[in-house]
Amino acid sequence: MDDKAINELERRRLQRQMFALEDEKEAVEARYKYLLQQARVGLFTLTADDCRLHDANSEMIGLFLCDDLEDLKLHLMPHPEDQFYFINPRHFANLHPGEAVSFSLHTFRKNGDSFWARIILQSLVDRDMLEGIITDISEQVKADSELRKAIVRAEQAQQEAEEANNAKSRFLANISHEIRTPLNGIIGFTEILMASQDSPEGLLYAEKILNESESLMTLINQLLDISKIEANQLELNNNSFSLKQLIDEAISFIRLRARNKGLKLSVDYDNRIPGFLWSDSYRLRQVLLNLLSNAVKFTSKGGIDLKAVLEAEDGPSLVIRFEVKDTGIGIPEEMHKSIFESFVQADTSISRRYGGTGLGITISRELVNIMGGRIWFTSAEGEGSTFCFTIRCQKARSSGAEERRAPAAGIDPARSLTGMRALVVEDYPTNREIVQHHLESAGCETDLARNGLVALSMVQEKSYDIILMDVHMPRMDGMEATRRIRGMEEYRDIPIIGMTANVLSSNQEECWSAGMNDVLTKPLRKKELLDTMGFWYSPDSSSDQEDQDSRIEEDSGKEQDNEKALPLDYKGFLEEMDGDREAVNEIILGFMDNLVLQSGTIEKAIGKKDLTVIHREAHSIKGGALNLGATDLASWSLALEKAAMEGFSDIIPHLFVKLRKSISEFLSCRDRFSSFV
Amino acid sequence: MSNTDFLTGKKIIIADDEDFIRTHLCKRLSETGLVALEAASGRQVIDLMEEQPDLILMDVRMPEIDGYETTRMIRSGQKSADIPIILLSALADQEDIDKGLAAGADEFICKPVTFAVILEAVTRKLDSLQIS
Repeated sequence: MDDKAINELERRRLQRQMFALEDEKEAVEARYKYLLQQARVGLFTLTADDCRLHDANSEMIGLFLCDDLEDLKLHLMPHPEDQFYFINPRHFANLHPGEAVSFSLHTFRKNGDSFWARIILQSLVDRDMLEGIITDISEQVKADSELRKAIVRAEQAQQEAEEANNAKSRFLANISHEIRTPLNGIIGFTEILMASQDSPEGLLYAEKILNESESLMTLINQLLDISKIEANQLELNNNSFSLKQLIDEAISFIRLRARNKGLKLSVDYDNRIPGFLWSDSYRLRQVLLNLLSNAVKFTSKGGIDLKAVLEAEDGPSLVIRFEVKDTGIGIPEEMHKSIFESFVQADTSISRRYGGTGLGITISRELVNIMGGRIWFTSAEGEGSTFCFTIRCQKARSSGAEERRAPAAGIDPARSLTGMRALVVEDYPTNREIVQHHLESAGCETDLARNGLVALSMVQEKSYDIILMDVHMPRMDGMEATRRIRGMEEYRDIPIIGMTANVLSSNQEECWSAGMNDVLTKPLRKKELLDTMGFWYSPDSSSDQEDQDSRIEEDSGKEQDNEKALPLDYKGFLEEMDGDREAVNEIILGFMDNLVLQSGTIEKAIGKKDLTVIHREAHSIKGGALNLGATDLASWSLALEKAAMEGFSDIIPHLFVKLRKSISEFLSCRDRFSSFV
Repeated sequence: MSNTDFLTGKKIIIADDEDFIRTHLCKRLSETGLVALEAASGRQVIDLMEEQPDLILMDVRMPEIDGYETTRMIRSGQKSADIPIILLSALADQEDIDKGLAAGADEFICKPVTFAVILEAVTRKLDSLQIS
């Protein structure tokens, strides 16, 4: 072959090679293009100097809802006059070749919708291009913001729930206060009604109104306590008090009811307990009264024992254990767990038979917990229950007004208040009237003022022996009025007695620091009011004591004369009632009033031959008579009861004649008891 | 890139006895929209003249009838005298080129070339044809 031929062959070979390389290049480019177009992230290039879009894959075109690359280029065309840039060239002017940045930006699709995009931008070495990756992070941003919103909503909801709960507590507090005010009126006027009532029926019904009102008051107070407990707003209001005295008061509170059911009360008081304790006496009394009231409620025979024991002593710190033991119906085993839960009575039939809400025990548990103790019980069905609780408290020195006011039993209020000049400051007309009536019934001269300002001008015009001051009043409240009156020379030592319905916040400390000598809690009870007035009113304190002593002797002398003729064991009964003469007389008079009614009932029942009613009434009379030691009455009523039970209809009228005679004998001494009151 | 839409549907005969070259040219030129007719010899080119092609891209050294002869035959034909002919050859001496142009070829491209050069020549020829 010649040179030319070789040259030609070489040229052919080179041509083949060139085409092959071109194919290869094309394949690589196609593959690259394919990858770009198929990638599920947006890929694009921008010109480096002005950040105009140069190229973009279909993902990116789709992201902006554009038809094609040209469409997208137009869409992302910078508008410097509107400050619109897809990517602002100023921010990336100093991006070094090879350097990459990533950022999020908020931009717009062709249809005007905005979205958040994540962008990674890299300056390519040796090319005047920026290569970018773009992903739509709207969903992520939306999810993030949804999450943030959800958190905010949850926080809001929680806050609203708390506010609603607080509102509920406030509402409960307000409404119960609102209910208490008219209830005070009902209780007060009922007592006035009772005092002026001649017919036994009227007295009986008035007493029922009083009892029902008091139950309602208890319930309202319990609801208020529960709402406070639920809102964690129950706080202790510690003060110095005598436990012995507190227990005496608690016992005397239930004595009448226990007595009426024929239950025996006993107190076992550990004398190692210091004379004065530092704790919340109001709450402790509440727990004790709750347990004692329950014990009385659920016990029909036997008795109730209250025990107070010093369990531990560490310096000034004390642990005191209380036990309330009854011989009542007991609590069935399966109910033991639920007894402390809100709104649970061991058995719904319990509430039907015995009434109550079961709230008292729940409140007691919370109160005991707050007082640093615990509460528990042992009980077996039919064998009674023993409720125990402990409290942590401190030894206290005797101080505070609690100590100053000893129980004023034995003072005859009707006599000791005669000639007394009292100013009653109270904004609620009903309360004003009740207090006035009670005081005037005891011979006390009473003036009224409807708020603190009026009271201030009245004390300047006339001098008073004692002031009864409502704490909450419009214009000027009782605290301020007390402070001002105390500031007057002539009234520096006058007894000022506060009256408050605010039993819970127990602002007694506040009352004392304002200068009040004592605080009465509404509803005002006649006895408590007069006792307190009698205690603080001492026209001449030195002679007063002697006067009283001699009077008591006088009384007891008179008693002995009378006792011989009485158809009942007055002395024995009085002893059993811890010498509470007033309570004894009240019980006897109440029993007498009932006798009149019962006698009438039996007479009618005999006419109808209704043995059940005869039996029931005779049984009831017998119980009362036995308690009072009225033996004659007891034996005739027993005979009638038995006859009715055995169905001896023939002798019943004869027995009733005897019983009626015994009743009239018994009633003949009624005036003697009336004169004691 | 300039608009090459006018290429679409135009017929081009691609003649080369080397299969790889012919196939490659066919494929690439077809991608521009041209209708490529393949021929492996001068004889086959003559046979395809019935198809009335718009352009002929032809190797010189082919069996039976070579590119020169084929060019002359086409030019002598009544209907085909004006069809543009581009010769593409590994023969690259001036005398070879002169011989081709003398035979009636419009252009003579020496191998090896990139496809871009070929495409440019093809486009230019068909474009000028369109204008005239």
